[in-house]
Amino acid sequence: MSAVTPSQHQETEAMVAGEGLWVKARKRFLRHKLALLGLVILSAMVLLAVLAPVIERYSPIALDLGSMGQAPSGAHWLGTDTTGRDVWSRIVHAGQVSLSVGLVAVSISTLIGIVIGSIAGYAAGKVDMVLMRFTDMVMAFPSLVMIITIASVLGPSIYNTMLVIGILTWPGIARLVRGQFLSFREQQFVLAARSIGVSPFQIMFRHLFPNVVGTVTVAATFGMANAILQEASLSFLGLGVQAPTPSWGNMLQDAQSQTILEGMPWLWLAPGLMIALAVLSINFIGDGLRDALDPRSSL
Amino acid sequence: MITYILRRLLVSIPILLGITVIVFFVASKMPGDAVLAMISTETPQAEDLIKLRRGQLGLDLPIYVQYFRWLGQLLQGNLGFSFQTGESVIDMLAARIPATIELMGTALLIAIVIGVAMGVVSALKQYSRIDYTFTFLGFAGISIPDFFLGMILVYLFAIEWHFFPTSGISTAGDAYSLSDNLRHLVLPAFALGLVRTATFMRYTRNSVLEVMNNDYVRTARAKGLNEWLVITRHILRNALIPVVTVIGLMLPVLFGGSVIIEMIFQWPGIGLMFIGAVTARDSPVIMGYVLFSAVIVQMSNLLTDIAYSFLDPRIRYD
Repeated sequence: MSAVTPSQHQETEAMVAGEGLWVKARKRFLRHKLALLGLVILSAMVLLAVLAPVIERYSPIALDLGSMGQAPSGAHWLGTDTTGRDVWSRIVHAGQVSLSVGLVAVSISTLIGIVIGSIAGYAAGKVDMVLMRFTDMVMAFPSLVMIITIASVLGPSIYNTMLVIGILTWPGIARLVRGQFLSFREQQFVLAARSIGVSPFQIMFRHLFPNVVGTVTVAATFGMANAILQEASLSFLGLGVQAPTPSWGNMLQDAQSQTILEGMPWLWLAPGLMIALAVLSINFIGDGLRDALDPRSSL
Repeated sequence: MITYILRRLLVSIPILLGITVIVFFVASKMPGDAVLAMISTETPQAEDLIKLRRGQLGLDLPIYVQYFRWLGQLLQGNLGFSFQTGESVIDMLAARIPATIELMGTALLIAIVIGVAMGVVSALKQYSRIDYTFTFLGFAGISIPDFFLGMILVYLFAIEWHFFPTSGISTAGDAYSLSDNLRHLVLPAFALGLVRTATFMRYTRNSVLEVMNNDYVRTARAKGLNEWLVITRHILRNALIPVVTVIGLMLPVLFGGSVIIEMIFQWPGIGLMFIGAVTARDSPVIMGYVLFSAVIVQMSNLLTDIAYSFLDPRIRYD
């Protein structure tokens, strides 16, 4: 999708000589309007989540049976749920939960992906073959199906949700890193480093890894969008973040009955829109980062 | 060509075996086992009974022996029996697969038709307003959770406007009729398919853009060929080949999505069965489903590769 972005067909703009890679990348990113929009929206959401304890107007957890199922009003901006909890307060707290689950999960998967991909790509040969066949096996399982299964083995909790999503979504990054490493490992800068006795770890970390930082950052950004969707799905099924802790996914789970769907749309519209908005902003940012850091890739 | 297919088949054997090892390992970590499901701890001498039954079932053997016994059964088509009902897992799957194929197939068709059409238009009108609109819609598509889209569709088309039923595969109590079945199919299929159109759109757009700038397209135009023929015969024919691979990529995602969509719409397929089994901790059924979905995904990757090599003779495999 990157090719549509306004930036690409104006690539001719002269770059000042001697400009660093990161300066160029930042310029390209700042020209991507949708990415900037995404960044603004996401920052606002992060701010709401961080400030949740300050801006909450009621407790997100305590029941208030005197004000059950109220429509949005001045007192309850987004209405209340069937147990009288304020939806606005729950939404901002849920943001904290959903965003941090996404962030931690994607950090875990990126780390595993980098380690496995680097080893496979640097070692090549048999080690590579074994690691890649293992990656193929993990990829053979539909990820959400496996996430649901393992979450049910470990038992549902917020930490298990992070862990399960993290340990099942690394193959994409592993393959990416491995492919790049394989293409770089025979190049002269690596041979030079090896010939003067630089240790393999140093070569991987100091010489090869900086070449894939851009690609990995882009993949991790899209991975975070995906992790938020996976968390929402898992919590929606009741296997992720558990009540009373709110997450956008489990707020939707509470709203599945037809009476709520029909009679109290604010209960499911608000969390659903928050998920879509968060994921959309992150995807926009990812697209901008792709233009900025990885301009050669077409997809 | 034949050697390529054969080699590809050979490579998938260790992967399939690996899949069975992973499935077995996860199953062995599942809380609850067949014996505890059959014998209540309230029974007098429960402990002795449990021990006896474990011995009979071979559950006291080392784990690798258990694995090979299980694998042997598997190769004879026995996936075990449900803890809840005692029904054979193979029969349970077989009874529900048609409903899932109906749902996933229709969703895939929706995603392909809409996605490819949007992708082609987007590419032909690159950088136009319509291109930007479609790209934006594509982003929105991959960002909306399918279950949320499902809820919106139910709210609008089933509750507000009564166009379609809210759930189920047919009206309870009525005799089966195709039109009734299709009316039930519309909402879940769109909820599952629409959010996946974006992927097809993106690949189609890129592929068409790549082909459009080829010399043979310029030649076709230069010799005065009608634009429609240039598009259909020269551009699309070549551009749509890579899109075939997207179908293979899409299948695992569809499996995950269908679990949730089948649950929301109470669509009686294998996804709904899987979620029921997860809630009841019925591990033979869970494992049967996981194994089945992984094998299907593996097979479809194989078929995609083979189909691709037929469709694009430029690719040489040796």
